[in-house]
Amino acid sequence: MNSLPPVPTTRVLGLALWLSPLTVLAHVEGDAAGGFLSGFSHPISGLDHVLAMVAVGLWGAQLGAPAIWLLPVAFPIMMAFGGLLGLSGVELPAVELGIALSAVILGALILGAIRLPLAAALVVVGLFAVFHGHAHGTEMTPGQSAILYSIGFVIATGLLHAVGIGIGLIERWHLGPWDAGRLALRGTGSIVMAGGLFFLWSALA
Amino acid sequence: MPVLPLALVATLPVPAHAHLVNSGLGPFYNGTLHLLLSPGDLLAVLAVSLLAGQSGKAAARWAAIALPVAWGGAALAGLALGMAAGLGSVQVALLILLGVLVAAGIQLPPAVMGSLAAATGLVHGLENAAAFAAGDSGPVAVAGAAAAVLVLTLLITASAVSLRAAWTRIALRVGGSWIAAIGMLMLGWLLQGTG
Repeated sequence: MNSLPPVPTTRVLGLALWLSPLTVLAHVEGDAAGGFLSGFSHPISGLDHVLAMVAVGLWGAQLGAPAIWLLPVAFPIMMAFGGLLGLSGVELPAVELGIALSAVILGALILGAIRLPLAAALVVVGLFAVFHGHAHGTEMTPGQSAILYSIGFVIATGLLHAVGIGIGLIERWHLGPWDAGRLALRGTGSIVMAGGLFFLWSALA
Repeated sequence: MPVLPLALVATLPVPAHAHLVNSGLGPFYNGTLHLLLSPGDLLAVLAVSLLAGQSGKAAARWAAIALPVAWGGAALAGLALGMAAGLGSVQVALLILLGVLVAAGIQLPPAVMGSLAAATGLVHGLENAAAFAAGDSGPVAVAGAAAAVLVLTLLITASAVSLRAAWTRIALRVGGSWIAAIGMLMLGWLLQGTG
């Protein structure tokens, strides 16, 4: 068997270097798209958060103008403030309890068709929003495109409020002598409250 | 001399770290595309334009002049002086301020609106100077980006000024609250060191 002629080591080394794969920095749903989608999916990934955010829209629709749009304006700002606290490492006590209580209380307010003064309604919603934001802030994963993550996060939150407002508009559906729309809206409050009680039980267990 | 290995090594592909996206249409459009693909800069243009539109026609005219001129001027100055601005926290603070002003339905006097637009343009222009320095046609690319700022500002302010229906004015203020919320989250990321 004939042996092959020797190849200079430097040539082998050079060829190996030339063929070596470079680190691939692109990923599916990487930097940009991944950041947006990750932020967008965060608020809708937990039913406790979804319940409360939809409930804000429902309650706003029940209270009517100007609460119908002031509550969804206040919630994202206060939630982002909570997110800021969470990202900064500021501790808040009983966050999970606060989140569960937000669904219970908002559900009860809708069920009872309770009309608080506007300032009080803003305080209630703003206070609970801080708990939701803090929970999200502590769970946010680094390595994403921060700006796109934040945009996705806020848009998803706003859309959840819009869903609540959309559902809440059934109140204008005056059917039958017992005002079916108004009753149906109050009925959604019972669903929110029941969900909140479940999460409250889970938080305490 | 190991010429072949050296030649092979010289042809090694290396990751490109250029900041300007190549549009294939020349440096002017590279600059335009750079702006259109920078969500932080776009959000600032949106925030200034919404506030200017909310503040009325006179304020909108001031903002439409001040924002692109300050943006382009600052980018050119940063390019000439080789500045690496590092103004991320100022950008975020401005974004929160602009968002809160829109959400609160504040109408600014034209001179104040113009100054705020100029400050925003200045900060964002300086922050982007390093990106334009990566190419060899920096000033032309800056012109492309500033032109994009001008067109976007004109379009958004014109739309915002012409809003009449109550629900559209409310939608504008909701948009402002979203911008402020995004700014606050960005501040959180910055404080965490990952923004």
